[in-house]
Amino acid sequence: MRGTDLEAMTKAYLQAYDQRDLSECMGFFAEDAIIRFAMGVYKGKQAIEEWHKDRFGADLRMIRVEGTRIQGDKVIVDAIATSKTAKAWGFDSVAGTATFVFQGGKIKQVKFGLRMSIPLEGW
Amino acid sequence: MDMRPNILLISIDSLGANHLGCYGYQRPTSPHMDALAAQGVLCERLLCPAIPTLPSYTTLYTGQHPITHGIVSHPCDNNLGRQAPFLPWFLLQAGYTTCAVDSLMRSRLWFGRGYEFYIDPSIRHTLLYLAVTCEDLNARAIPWLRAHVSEPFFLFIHYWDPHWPFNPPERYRHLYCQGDPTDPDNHSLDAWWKHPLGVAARDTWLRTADGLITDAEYVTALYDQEVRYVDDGVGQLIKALDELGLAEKTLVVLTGDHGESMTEHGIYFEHHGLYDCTLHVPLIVRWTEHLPSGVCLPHTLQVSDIAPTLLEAAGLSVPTAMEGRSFWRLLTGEEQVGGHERVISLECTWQAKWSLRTDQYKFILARQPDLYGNSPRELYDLEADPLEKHNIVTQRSEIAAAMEAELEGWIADRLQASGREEDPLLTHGVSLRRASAIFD
Repeated sequence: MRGTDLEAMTKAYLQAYDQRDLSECMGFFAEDAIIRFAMGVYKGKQAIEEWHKDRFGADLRMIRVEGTRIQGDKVIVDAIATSKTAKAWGFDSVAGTATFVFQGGKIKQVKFGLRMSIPLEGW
Repeated sequence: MDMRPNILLISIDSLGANHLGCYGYQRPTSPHMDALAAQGVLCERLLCPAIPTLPSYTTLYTGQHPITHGIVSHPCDNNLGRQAPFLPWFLLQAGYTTCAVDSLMRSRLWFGRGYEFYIDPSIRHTLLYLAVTCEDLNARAIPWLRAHVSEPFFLFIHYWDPHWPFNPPERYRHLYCQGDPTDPDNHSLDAWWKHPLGVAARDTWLRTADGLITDAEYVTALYDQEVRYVDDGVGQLIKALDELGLAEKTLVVLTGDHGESMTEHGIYFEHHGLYDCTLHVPLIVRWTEHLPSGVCLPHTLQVSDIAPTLLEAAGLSVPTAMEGRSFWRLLTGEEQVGGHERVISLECTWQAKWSLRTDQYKFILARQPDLYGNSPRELYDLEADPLEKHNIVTQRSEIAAAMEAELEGWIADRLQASGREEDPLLTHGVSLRRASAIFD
């Protein structure tokens, strides 16, 4: 697939996520896909479905996308996000990066991480 | 010839004395710290007047009780007064080259007072101290030692490995673990999912490729593996010090800011609750050829005693604003009597509580209802029940009443002496209870 196709697929997934459309979201993932969320690992569709339900429950959402880059089979999205959980801990928003890795037209891995934004500074 | 020792102050965050071999723990978590104790003096009972991190380190540096310095919780908006005594300042003014390898200054600026050098390798990690390792810190501290070998120095190094999340390097991850930690029929962590920290752990570091970790004993093993990891870090640092020929010139002090409750008292893998698993921290002191070796001090000491002790070791006078008592002469063997008959501790982060501890009893008084529905008054007979499992406040009501009166009297006296009227736990309020909004 071309990079522009991967970027379009990433946008479509993020739109489905934003609309809390679980079945649409799950359709983007390979059977053995992995989500790496902070230090956690969610492997396989069942775990990934659970991750989505938990994040929807925590109202994790993107406030804005700050940039998108394509590197081979990866699409890297820098965004500002918020969630009920983050707010409960005293963080209105966090700067994060989501790295999508594609294989065979499906998401093989997504890694969600914080950027060098020192969120605990002054906490 | 300058007889003042260099001072290497090692503090290990979240390290309870009860998880070290030299304090009787059954797992071999601490061969290097055990060896350090064998070469020096092991203080059997060092207690924290304040938990968790920020109040405890402020207590260590100022030599003051938290009711005096005013930092009672983490996070907090209070500032440390400009007049507060601060250990590195006194050492700097006495000609020491001062250096911290630490990240506390990113939380609060006062932790940088008196340091000529402040090195923070945690800046390379997105979550700062939650991810910085003993290897990261040693990679900066050891070259600094080599560069300052000919100067009188005070070096403070603050390791974070045993602090949650418990995520030891892969080579340590299976030292003490057996069985399937992701067994869905194991419900030993279920109670934790009702606490905001449990939710955070369940969503992140307890998730593995094999599934969600459900076994509390496995999580305890992860903690112990972090202790084993940081023990190797301590070993590496001490080896470097000794290879530089500094053993006889350097007073090494190893301690912690608070311990960690594994699952004791329903507190899962965190450092709140005024129980001994959290209040009792290690203290090991070594000065080769100057202090005795292989000696255990049985006296009850407090974290606020450390700064006055280091000042006396350096031949400096202890400022009157420091409230802790130097135990230097207990270490040298010049005195045999000392320590405290009573220790008063507080917490105001997840719950607002005071405790008064004697050799035999501990009385705990809650200013606000706690997260676990415990009684607002607890009394434990530490001799009969060292793990504090049986609250005997009803059975021994006369002792509880007397200790409560003593505690309230002490608080009132201290407030009056400082011109204040209200208990800081009430004016401040628990600072992290807001995280419970996760469940709203």
